[in-house]
Amino acid sequence: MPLLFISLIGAPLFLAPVWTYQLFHRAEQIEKACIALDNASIRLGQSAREVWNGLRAYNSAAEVSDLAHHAVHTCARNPLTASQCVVLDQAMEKTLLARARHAERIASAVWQNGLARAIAEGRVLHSQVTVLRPTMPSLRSITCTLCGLPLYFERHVVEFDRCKVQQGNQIFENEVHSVGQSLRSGSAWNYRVMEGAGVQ
Amino acid sequence: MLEGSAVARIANSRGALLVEGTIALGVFCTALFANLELVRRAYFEVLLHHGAFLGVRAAVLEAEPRASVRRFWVKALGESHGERFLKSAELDLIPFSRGVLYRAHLEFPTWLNFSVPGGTKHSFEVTRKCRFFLSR
Repeated sequence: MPLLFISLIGAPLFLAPVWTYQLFHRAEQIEKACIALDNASIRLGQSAREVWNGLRAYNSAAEVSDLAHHAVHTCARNPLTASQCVVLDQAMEKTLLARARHAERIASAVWQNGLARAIAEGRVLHSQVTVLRPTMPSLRSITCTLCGLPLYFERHVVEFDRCKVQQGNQIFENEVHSVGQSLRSGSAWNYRVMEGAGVQ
Repeated sequence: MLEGSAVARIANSRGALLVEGTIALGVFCTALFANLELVRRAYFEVLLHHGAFLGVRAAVLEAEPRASVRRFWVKALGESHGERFLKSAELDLIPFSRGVLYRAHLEFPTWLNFSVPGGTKHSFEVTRKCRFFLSR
């Protein structure tokens, strides 16, 4: 009888705190994984915003420079005035193309830096954070209809960046959506983090 | 042959044993019930704690907080139990200056009502809050 009493009363009494601790611990681990995932996603979104806003600013600036170039370009194509403008036209074209290449290189560097930052941010709290994102931004050059120079950029393929984390046998996933219309229009680029299907 | 006094002694001791046994069984059952109730409440606290976290996370990510909490509770307790738990709990989303606060609140009925300053206590309340600061 005493043994039965001890086992029936004692077992829940002593096991309950252990069990409760394990439950809280598991909940805390899941919460930590979710926070790591969200932080990584936020970093991804920030870098995407930085890249697309940078390119949008570049496109606007390039448009202004290209307008100035068009006058010189037209002058250089006119046989009567070509001798006065052709050197300047070539110099301007070289500068504009160099600026375009520079903007592309900066965009790639920011993109890759963002990828590294997202992984690092996620791994502060959880070692199993993985980021699924192309290594380079999906860009396409647009040539100017008047001078034929590939000066502008637009987004080629709209892909969602993904962050994943595995906690126990559960996989949590976030999608990072860039929000914006076009690199040529006036809308600002932003981002939105969305819970994936596996998140509980 | 037993004498009358010996018979009475045996009957008395059996009666005493019965009374003691009944009391012991009552204490035993009450203690067991109380233990299991504590375990159940601890489990509910975990549900509230994690529910508040999921609610605030869903709110920050512009999802539906209540649906997120419901999904978790239904998964943890089963369809009917989870729905009942959702009905008995109060869930509030409280916006504040730098983010959102999500509050999950549950009232447990007490077996005995008792007076406290300010009125009679009919229930114990458990509230779990979770905040999400949008620091970046």
